[in-house]
Amino acid sequence: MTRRKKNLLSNYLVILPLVAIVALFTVYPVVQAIQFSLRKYYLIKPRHPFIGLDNYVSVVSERLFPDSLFSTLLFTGGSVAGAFLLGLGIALLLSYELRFSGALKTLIVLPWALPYTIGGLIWKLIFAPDFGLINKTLGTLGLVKPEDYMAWLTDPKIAQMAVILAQIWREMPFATIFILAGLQAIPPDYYDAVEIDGGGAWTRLVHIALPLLKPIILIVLVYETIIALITFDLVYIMTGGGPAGATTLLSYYAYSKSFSFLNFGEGTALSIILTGVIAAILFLLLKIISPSLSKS
Amino acid sequence: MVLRKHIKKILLYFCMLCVFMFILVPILWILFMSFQYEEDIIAPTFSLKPREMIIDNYKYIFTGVAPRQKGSMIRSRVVESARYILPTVVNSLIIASCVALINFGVGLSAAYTFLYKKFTGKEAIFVCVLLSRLLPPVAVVIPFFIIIKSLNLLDTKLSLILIYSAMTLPLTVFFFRGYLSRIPSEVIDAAFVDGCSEPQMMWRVLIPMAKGGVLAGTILAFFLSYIEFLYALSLAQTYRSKTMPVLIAAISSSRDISWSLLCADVILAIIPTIIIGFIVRKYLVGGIIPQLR
Repeated sequence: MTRRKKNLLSNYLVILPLVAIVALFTVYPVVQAIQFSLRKYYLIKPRHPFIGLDNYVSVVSERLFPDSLFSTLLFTGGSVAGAFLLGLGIALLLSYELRFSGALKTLIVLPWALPYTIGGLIWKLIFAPDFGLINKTLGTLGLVKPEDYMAWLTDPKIAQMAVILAQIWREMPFATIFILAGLQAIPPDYYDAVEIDGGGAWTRLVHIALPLLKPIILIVLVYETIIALITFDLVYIMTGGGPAGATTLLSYYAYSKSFSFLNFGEGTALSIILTGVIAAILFLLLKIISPSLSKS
Repeated sequence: MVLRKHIKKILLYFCMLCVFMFILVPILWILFMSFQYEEDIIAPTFSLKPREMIIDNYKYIFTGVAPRQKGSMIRSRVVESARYILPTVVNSLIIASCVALINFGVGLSAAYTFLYKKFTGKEAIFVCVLLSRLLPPVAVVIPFFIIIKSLNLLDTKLSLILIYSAMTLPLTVFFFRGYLSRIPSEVIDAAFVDGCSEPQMMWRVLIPMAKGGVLAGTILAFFLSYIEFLYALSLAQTYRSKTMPVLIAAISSSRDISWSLLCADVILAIIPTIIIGFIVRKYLVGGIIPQLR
């Protein structure tokens, strides 16, 4: 009995460092963040009086808030759908085992292997007005005169699309790698059965591959959704939230409230709202997409 | 029918070419610019005649010898901060290596315990640890600042090592557990029958058998720490603890900017991550898929 107790204790001791470090940097910060969000908390002021939900009310009623929520949802929807569909497409392409497939399988990881900051920087340079890759290519081909070069990222709509494109570029390798692994795990005789029944490539994809890939698709969607919802580095480097707040995603908005305006109260209130948005979207994803995937 | 097959093949190869270009052109363009004169970079069009390629940008970063300049190049374009890429990359490498070691030790033993041991609250603890990853970093960055300040660790590498360990451990424990779960329990029992102690068994049986996964999980923690930006941005103040992404962000938003030097910085900064990417790619899936069923 004492030996069993000792064993049991040693189990807890082994996971103690893990639990301690995660708790120190999770539980305590969350409690603190909630406290901040209920106070009028400016870094430079000595007193932080309790004001209840006022921070939440004033943040939500700001003009930029609905815009920011919308661009966050647009960014998330666009980049998750884009990365998933492109990843699926590339994985299907790779499953044909053409020449150079091997090279592509190796090189596909490159965008994902770059830091977000550098991915953002690369796309900022691609869209740069004076010497960016797009303008320079158009100019060299003689399609646009150098004096007419577009400052792409100063147009709100284009800037929104550009950040989504940059995110898709960086995230599609993850989707490709997972979906390809899933495709390769499907026994070939499953496909033979479709062929006997006279089904084509589409039938193979919709009736065999996608249902079997369900757990993998779910992992890809959940991962990409979380990554997109907390995106910060990319917009920090690429657009700085601009132009006119068009790419101010919620996490960037919360950050600038806290660090540019030193309004920690409203900043943390915003980030707690973001946490709620993440929880709600993941809930929807798991409750709605997951069962409907299993039906098909 | 034969014609259709040919068309299909051509179409597939065309798609492949597009994918190759989409992936590679942005990176190769940066690589190309890092070997160019500043003038050639900021020229409004590509020159159709081949331009001279130079290694001066890299030479400046390593030795401080200013790049040769064509024509009347403004002096201020040679930004000194570009040279700080080496110390910041070293900082990032040190921090990431420590985090990787912690993940290997703490994470692997925790994953083993979660997988093979029975104790009250096991599942609950595991789920809670994993759920901690759903918090957006921006929500906790201010409390982190306050914790680090009260521990008297502001502007130290240790502060980032602690935070990154908390950030990566839930993922690596999950990942390691996936790889360990593929080892048949008979193998482990056999090791115990042969008289192995638990640590011996881990070292001689588990780790060698899950080699690839253990390596990939550890490297993944390294990678995530190497690229982290938000916490480093708000906690690192001087070059004692500033990391590579923070420097790249600072240079790219400064007014006096030398694009050629910045591109050389970027290339130097991504060499480790690209090597890591190639290693992790092979093992990424194996740590996650076993746990989906």
